[in-house]
Parts: sequence; structure tokens; C-alpha cells
Amino acid sequence: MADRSTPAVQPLRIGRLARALRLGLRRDSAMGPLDYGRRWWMRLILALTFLFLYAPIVVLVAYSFNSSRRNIVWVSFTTDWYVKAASNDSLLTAFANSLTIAVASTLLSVVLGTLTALLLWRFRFPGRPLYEGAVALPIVIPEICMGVAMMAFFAWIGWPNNLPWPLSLTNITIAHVAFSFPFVAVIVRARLAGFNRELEDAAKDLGATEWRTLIDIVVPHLKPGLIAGALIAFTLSLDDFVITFFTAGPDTITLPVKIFSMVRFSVTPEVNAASTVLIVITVVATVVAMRLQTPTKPA
Amino acid sequence: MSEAIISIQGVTKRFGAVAAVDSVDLEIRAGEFFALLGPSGCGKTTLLRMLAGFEQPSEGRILIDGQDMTGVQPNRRPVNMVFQSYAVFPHMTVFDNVAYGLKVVGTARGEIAPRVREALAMVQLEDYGARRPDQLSGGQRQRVALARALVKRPKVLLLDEPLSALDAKLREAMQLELVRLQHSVGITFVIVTHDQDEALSMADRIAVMQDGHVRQVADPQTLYEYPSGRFVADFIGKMNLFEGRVAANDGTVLAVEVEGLGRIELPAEPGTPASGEAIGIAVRPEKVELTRAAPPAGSVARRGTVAQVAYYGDVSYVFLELEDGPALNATVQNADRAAEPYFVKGETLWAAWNPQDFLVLGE
Repeated sequence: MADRSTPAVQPLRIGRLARALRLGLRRDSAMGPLDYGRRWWMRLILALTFLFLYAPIVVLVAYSFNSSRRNIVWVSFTTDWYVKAASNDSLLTAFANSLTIAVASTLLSVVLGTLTALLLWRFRFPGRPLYEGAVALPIVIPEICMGVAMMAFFAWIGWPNNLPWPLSLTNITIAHVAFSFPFVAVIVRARLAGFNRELEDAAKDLGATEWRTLIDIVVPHLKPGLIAGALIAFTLSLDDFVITFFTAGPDTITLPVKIFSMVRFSVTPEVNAASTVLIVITVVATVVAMRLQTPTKPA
Repeated sequence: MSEAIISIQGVTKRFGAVAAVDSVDLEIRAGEFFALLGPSGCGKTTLLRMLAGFEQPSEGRILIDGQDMTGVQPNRRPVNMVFQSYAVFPHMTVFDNVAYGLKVVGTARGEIAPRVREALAMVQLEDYGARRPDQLSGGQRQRVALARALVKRPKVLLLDEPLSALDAKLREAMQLELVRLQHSVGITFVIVTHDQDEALSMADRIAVMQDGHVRQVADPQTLYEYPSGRFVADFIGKMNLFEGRVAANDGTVLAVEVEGLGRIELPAEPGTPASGEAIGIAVRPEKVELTRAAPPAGSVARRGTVAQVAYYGDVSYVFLELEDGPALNATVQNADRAAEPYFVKGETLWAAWNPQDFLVLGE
């Protein structure tokens, strides 16, 4: 009868394992209709998802503090790689380039994207559906094609390569705006769909001009959309590799391009350190943006 | 009679091929409570939006206080509006909402706060200045919208279906309050509504609109008792309408052959139709008296069977089937306290009314 008892042992062991991992396997209390989170296998899936998503990043960050040159064995904790990265002039230049481009392209994308969204929302004109489609096109065009197109375009119009910094970053910024602002436009357009047009009429009725109405009434309504759009534009620009790679000159290397070129020689913890800084900036920007979006609770 | 504050002269508004407002002429007097009444799609809101300046007339012109408003933008007109959705700015406090219309035109700082407080007091929201709109009820939001418009001291206040989003009790209270407010500020109110009770109870004069045309402009009582035609008679209040043909008209007595009622004679008023013309002839349900005994001579009396009784508390609607076929609706006042209905289904009664109560309606 030993062969019959074997299948019964298996779930019992899993149950014990789950309990040991505090995944919870409580059959004693009744489960609510949407209380799936209390099922142990649901928690297992959740844990595996987090592992799948974040293990590589955790490893990257962890080894940026490792005192070995190799990303294989853990030796001891150090911050030397950050010091080394911070004293690497070309890395710092790339970092400064990346931030400058990201800030400039974010500002331009938000303005351009918002104006595009307002245009599409507010006005009826011939060819509007076509225009709406054309605006969204850069979202779906493969990045590599955009990159090649941008390179060819700047060569064709004879864009000067010898401009002084920060003007030398203009062509990369233009390329970034070109693929970022459609995202802003889509987000702001969605936000505008929920706008009560009577608010606009009310402002005008009370004496506001078109411009005052836009600034006093429409923009405050759009604020969450503007923040979300700016965040997307900023992160898209900061970590863009493909399009930047095609438009960057020898003196206008950005951080992702620089990291790529460093990795081509050897993967050192210095790369890990630089990447960690990039992650931190992105996460901080996201948290700040989310904070700004949550409505302030009345005291 | 005071002079016209708003003069609408031959105004037509077309959206594509459709005329939402069709050659309307209308004078609204200074200081009156005026209602634009009609079913949805009759053009009343379009007309109001043209007064506010959100739409421009395709033809004709609008004068406000003697000034031609053609091409004048909404922010430059001496009128203010209370919107159907109230359109209270959600990101501003109540105080800032009311102050907005003053700030935006550069009113002196010292003048803003007292005027806002005065306007808030007018709508009994003195203590709500610091609140945000999402902390207010529907009725309070409406008061904010009112204060925000009144603080501008407009020559005319426009109200677009202002009570449609409120529940029945609050609506009644607001009707009285709006009339009280209008009397105390002395500003001309123009209200758009599809609710005949609202228009009748609040307005000094009413314009009834249908398909872009103004059918009749009159005070509530004239509108109810002397409607100009079938549409107005049917739209305002309840009506028993019969089809008939003028048999004779000698100037003093009008004889009409009515389907289902037979020949009826009533006093001829000036302008009544000539012999042979097809007319509608109608009587209001509350003018019909129901009795078990035979009614006095001289009245129009018919026998009928009670088909249904609808009980409303203060009144009951009794639906009769007359012996000659047509249906007749009569309103019975439940003046005495009783446990049982006075008239019951299946019972045969006399229905009688004074021939003078007949409305003669042309095509």
C-alpha cells in the first residue's frame, strides 16, 4: 500500500513548505470572493513574478558594491566603484549630456505634446483623423528605423557637427522630442476626454480670455496628465540607446551609449555603479511624479 | 411695462442644414423672470447660448441693453450664466470660484473679498468659502454657481436647466429661492427649462418653443387658459382633445360637430374659425365635473364608465370611457379625508363642464 500513500505526501510537503515561507495555507477561515491573495499558489506566482522582474536588477546593484573586478563571486562590500565612476571624466561627460538632453527634450515634448493634444481635441479640420494617426506613428515605428531616419535626415540637411556644447546636443534633443512628444500627446488627449467643456464656457462667461481659460482652467485639469507625460518623456530620453547611437557624434556620447561602449571591453563593476545611478534617478523621478499626482488631502 | 433689456431680432441659427433656431423675434423686459420652455431639441438652449455668446446667430441680431452683440465674445457681454452641470471649478475653493470672475477682469484687490462675501451671503453659503467643490452637495454647488454669476452684477442672468439635476424636494425649494433671489437682486433672469411646472410657477412670462420656433409668449395663466394652438395646449398641462368641424358661426354662437361628442354650441370669440373649418376642441381635466346625479342644464354633459382611477394624494385622475366612444380624463380634488376612493372602476357617471371652458384650437 506504500505506492498509494505517495501522492498524498506530496501536497502535504508543499503545504509545509508554504507555511514555512509564510505564504499562508489557511483553510480554516472562509475566503472572501476576491481574496485570492490568501491562496498559497497565488502568492508563489507573485513571488516568482517579482523574482523574474527584479533579480537581474538586484544582482546589478549588489555587484556594484562588490570589491572584486568580476561580477561572479561576492568578496566584500566597497563603494570604490562609485568613486572610480565619479572620477571617470568621459563617464561624467556622458552623464551630463544625458541629463541635459533629457531635461530639454522633456520640456519641449510636454509643450509640443500638449499643444498637439489640444489641437486634436479642440478643433475640427480636414484630415484630422490622418493627422491623429500620423502623430501616433512614432510610437509604433521600430526604433532602429527612427534612428537610421534621423541620422540620414541630419546628414541630408547638413547639420553642423562642430557646434559648441550644449548646442552640440541639439540634434539628439530634436530626435528625442520626435519620439517622446507623441506619448505626451496620447496621455494628455486621454485626460482631455474627461474634461467638462462647460468649465471652459464658465470661465469665458466670467470674463476670462481664451488664454486665461487655458491657463486657469484647462491646465490645472491636465496636471496629472502633464506630470505623467513628462515622466515618460524624461525616462524615454534618459535611457534611449538606439536612436541616440545613430545621432550622437564623438563628443556627444550619452550615458547609455557610454555604458554600451564600456561593456564592449569588459563588464566591470564601474558599469554596474553607473547603471545603478541611472536606476536611482529614474525611480526617484517616478516617485516624485506619483507624489505630485496624488491629490492633496484637505487638512 | 419696462423697456426691453434683451431684443432678439429675426435670429436664425443653422447647424449644417438644420435650423435649431428659426427666425425668432423676442423681447425680454428689464427685471422680469423669463422662461424659455420647450421639449428637448426645440432650440431653447441654443437660443440661450446665443445670448451668452457661445454661439453666433446665422441670421438676425441680438441687442442687450440696446447694444448690438454681434461678434461680441462671451467674456465681453454684460450677462452671466448658470450652467446645467454648474461647472464649478473643481480645483478652486468656493471663495476662489466666486472671486474668479472678479480677479480675471482685474477688479481691485480690496473690492474682491467683500463682494465675494456678499454674494455668498446672498445664497446662504457664508461659512463655506474654504470648502472645495467635492465637499459640497449638488444643491450647494448650484448655489456656488449662482453666487459666482451674481457677483459679477450682470444685466441678465442666464440659467440653463438649473434644477434638472436636483431631487424633487430640493427642486421645489430652489424654485421658491430663485424667485426670492430674483426679486431681491432685481436682475433679469432668463431660464431654460423643459419642465412646465417649473416655468409656470417661477416665470413672469414664458416663451414656448417648438422646432426652433417660438409658438407663444405670454404670462403663465394666459398660456394655460388661452393657448395659441395645439402644441402649446398639449405641452402645458393635461388636455382632453377632440377633433371637430365648424358647422356654423354667426359671430355670437359657434356650432361645432365634434367626433364622439356630437353637436356642441359655445360662445364665439373674435377670431374663431369660419364654417366648414377643421378644428381641435379641448377641455382641461380639472374643468370636468363628475357627478352621480344629472348635472344642471346648460353644461356639456355626457355619460361615461370609469376605466381607471390614478390616485396622487391631493388629486385623483379619473379616466372615463364615454358612451359614444371617446376617452375623457377628469381631475378630482380629494378635498375630504376618506379611507375609500369616491369613484370606483366600472361605475357609470355624468361628466359635465361649462361650454365656455372649451378651447378652440386651430391647426
